[in-house]
Amino acid sequence: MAGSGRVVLAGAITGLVLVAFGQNLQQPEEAAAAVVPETIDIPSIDVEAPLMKLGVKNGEVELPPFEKPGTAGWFTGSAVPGEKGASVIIGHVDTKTEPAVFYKLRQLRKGSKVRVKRSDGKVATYKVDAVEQVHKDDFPLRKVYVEDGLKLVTCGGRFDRAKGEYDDNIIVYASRA
Amino acid sequence: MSTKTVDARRRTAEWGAAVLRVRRVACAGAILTIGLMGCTAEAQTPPATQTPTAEASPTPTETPAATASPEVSRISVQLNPDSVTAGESSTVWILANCPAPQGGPAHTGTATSRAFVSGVTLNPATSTASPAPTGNAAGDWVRGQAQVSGTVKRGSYTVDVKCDGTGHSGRATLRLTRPEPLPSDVPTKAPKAGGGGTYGKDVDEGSPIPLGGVGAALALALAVGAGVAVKRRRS
Repeated sequence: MAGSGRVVLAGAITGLVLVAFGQNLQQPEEAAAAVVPETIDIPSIDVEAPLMKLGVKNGEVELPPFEKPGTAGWFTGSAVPGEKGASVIIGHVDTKTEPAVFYKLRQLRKGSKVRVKRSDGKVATYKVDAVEQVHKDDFPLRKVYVEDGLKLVTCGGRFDRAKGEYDDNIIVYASRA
Repeated sequence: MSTKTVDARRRTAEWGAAVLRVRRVACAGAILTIGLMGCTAEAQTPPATQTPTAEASPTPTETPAATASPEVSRISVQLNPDSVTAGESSTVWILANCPAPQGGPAHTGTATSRAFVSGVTLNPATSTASPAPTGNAAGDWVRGQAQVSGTVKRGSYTVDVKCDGTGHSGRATLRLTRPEPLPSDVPTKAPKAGGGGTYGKDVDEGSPIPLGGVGAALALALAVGAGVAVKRRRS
């Protein structure tokens, strides 16, 4: 009993030492790049959701799977919230059957707070500047993906049953508070 | 020359001929004098124009007078920014050096351009913060904001400003430039972030269903579902 306890303890210490050393070695180049946003918190519309990573495929940004309706995603090609540049977080308005994480996004109003918790423990706080509904053909790529600030994106408007998608996007623009 | 004419007059024997000759001589003399004068004038002018003082002095005093008389009313017009991206709606400040009119008329101006959604009234002071004129900013300025529609094509557009009351006017050029290409790693399409499950179901926006609860319920259902799925797959 006591012997196994010692082994576990020794293992844990070794692990800790390794982790500490590993972090020390990696910190210079990887610390900044490794930080990711982990959760998004929008108290005014009762959103508190985990964030997954979204890449881009054939010009289209990936989306959280419908099987995870409560999860929003951070576009990995955008800035980590709290850093300079455009940060983009996307979430479904609904699945094929029920409301999803950004169901109430269009209800956000100017001044509402948005908090993003990062893997380094920092919390980036934003305040909403504008909420806009635009047709997908007129999606403001530059404003969303290039210009400074946090952008929250979901769908809205009429649902085109033939195409299986909404006609419009709801975009929330927020700046550092 | 004069002695010749005097001599001619003294020979009064042949009047007609004499008169004729006098005239001729006078003429010749006149021509000679004019010629000489012309010569001397010509001879004198080149050095006059060649001397830098003679040439330099008239130029600065005469040119402004010459340009000022037909265009007394030209004023300085500045645009901020003077270049915007074509295809995006943007806002441009117009600043014009309109002098304040004496007495009656209000100190305002009007700016028009084919690039603007509509003409704009320029006022001496605006409620919103406006950029200050750059360069020689002396004198009275009026300013206003114009909207440039996203449908205006690339190119240079003249912005005309007329000062009300004084008749001054000026112009500036607004450039609509090609948008910078988007970075290559940026998506080119709008995200399809919805499955349509709630569309047309008329859940009104102010619905008291707290999404946090829904989200938690969903997450729970999902976890249970996932568990069930895993179990099924295993069994």
